[in-house]
Amino acid sequence: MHIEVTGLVKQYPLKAGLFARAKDRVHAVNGVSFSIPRGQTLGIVGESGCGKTTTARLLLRVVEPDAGMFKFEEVGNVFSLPEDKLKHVRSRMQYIFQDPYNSLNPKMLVRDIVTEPLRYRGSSTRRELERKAAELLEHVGLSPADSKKYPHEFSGGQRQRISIARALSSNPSFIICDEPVSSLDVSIQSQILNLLIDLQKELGITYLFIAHNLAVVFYMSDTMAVMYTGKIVEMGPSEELYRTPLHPYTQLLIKTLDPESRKDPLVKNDSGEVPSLIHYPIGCTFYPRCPRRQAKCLEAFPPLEGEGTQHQVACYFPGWDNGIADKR
Amino acid sequence: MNPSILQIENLTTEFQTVTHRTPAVEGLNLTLRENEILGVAGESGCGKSVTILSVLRLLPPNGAIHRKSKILYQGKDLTQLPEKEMNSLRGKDLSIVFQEPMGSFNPLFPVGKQIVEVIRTHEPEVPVKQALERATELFRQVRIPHPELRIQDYPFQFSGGMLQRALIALALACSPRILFADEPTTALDASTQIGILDLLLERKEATGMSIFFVSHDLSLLEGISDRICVLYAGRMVEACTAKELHTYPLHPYTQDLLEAVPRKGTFKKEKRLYSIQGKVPDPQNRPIGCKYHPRCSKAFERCRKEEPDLFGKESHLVRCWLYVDAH
Repeated sequence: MHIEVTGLVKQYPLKAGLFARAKDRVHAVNGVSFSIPRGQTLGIVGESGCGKTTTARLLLRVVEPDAGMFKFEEVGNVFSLPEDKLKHVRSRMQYIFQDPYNSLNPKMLVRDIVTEPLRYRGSSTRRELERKAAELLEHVGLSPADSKKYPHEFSGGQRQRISIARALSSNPSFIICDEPVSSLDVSIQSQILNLLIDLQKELGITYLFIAHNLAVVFYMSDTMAVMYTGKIVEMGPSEELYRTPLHPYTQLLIKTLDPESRKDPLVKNDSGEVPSLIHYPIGCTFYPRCPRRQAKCLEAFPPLEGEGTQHQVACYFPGWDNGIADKR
Repeated sequence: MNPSILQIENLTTEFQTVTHRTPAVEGLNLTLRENEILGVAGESGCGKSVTILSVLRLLPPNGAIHRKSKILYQGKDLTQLPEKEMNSLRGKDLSIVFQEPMGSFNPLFPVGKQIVEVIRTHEPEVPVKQALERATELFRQVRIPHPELRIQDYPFQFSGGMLQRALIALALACSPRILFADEPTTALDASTQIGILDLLLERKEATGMSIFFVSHDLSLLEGISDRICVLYAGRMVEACTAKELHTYPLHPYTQDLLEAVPRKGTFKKEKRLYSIQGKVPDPQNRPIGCKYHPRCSKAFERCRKEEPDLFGKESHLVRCWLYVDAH
């Protein structure tokens, strides 16, 4: 396995104030584990606030985790590395942000933006950097002449190409794509998605792909993880997850792909209310919305298990929903 | 076919910048029928929101509707109406739901109070107590749990999905004839999105209003609209029933869009997405000829020189030279 994450936890303490006690914490990520084989894509879906982005930031140690292990390549546990060794590891891991307008420095030339990761590590001459910039820009479908322009001279799609070029500059083996196409026009999205797929084939890069558009994540991923209130509730090969979702939340999400399903009682009666992440419930967090809930669900959060390790689900009463099966 | 309720004729809306006059919408003709959902699809900058703002006359100060444009509602030309009369239509006959519910409420007042304000603006004779009862009933209609308690809550106490429901309740407060919905579900999570759509459809059936539904998501529009019109670079490029658009999209842009978006149940190893080349043209610098020709795989000589008219039958119009003989 290229990426192995076990037991990832992050809680944000709240300051004591008018409404909060000093001991209160926001349970952002609550024991997330997954692994990704080299050159494959793991997609994470879930509604806003479910911990997708926090998970991604924890891996890069932009935010320090409270607990967990992250085995990456030969370096061992990234979470126990001292700060000075992180520099090397971070060059092997890169991040592509959602908004290509705010993630590029408007005062820097494109050439300097894409080679900044290299300059940060030192040891390259000016000429080498220029050659590298031209190479990178060609790689992502821009022209080498673009290296002397500023970000504002480019459209959204082109700017996202620049961010991809910057991510590629340090030869990463793992790239986190956090909503890479959601701020782009519909007609531009496929250009970027195809580019990401081509780069993966050519360079064998592993992706963690986060997006709220379900059809896009299904399309891009080999494996998919469905997150809810900071936990993975179902994980499996994306095609299998699409055809035979076992968790009621996954079933609900898949139904939303089809506007016709709005008459379905499961969709119609869904309140959409997520429990508070401050007063985290003991039992299953999906209980208030679940059509199959029983008394047992209130005792403890169900463990993520499955026959084999391929398709796992965190539900005491997993199962097929006939409404979905009939439609296929 | 239902009679028409809103007719947009030859709408051109321009924005004045320091050096240029930028057309956002050019020569748009659209008809909204009674009790129908008209889906308006298009990418950012194609003029979908500007069309709504033009009808409601909510354009920013540098935007202007061309004097030859007409917007007919109940025999009145909205572009000529005095501001006072327009004000009495807004929020009553013509109502709008915006994309961002958080930005649409005043954070300092309870949601219920803001609904009461709308009701009492248009119907001053209604006492506050009765207006509050009506607001509670609206909350019940939009399926907000415990309406009599939630009506006293402030906007920040609602989740995004619930606040969008409250915004719909606000928009429905004076039983509008036309509801303009500008990407009402884009800011919501997938699981709440579908509930909002169902709600809009149910209220449409219950009240007989028409919905002008704007979205960039064609597959969503196909699922809920009666008719769909696709905009590109400020003009209509295709208009037909939702069913027909699903089975026989004619304009190359519509076809490309449908091919470029991952549909449910497609995976990367099965099918490569179609990549539309280039980008949406800059509104100050739109190409001569067909506005889509630089990106179109089927473009030929004529497309580069002359802009096509709308061809085809009344029931399926398309702006493309490929269909010039389809009359």
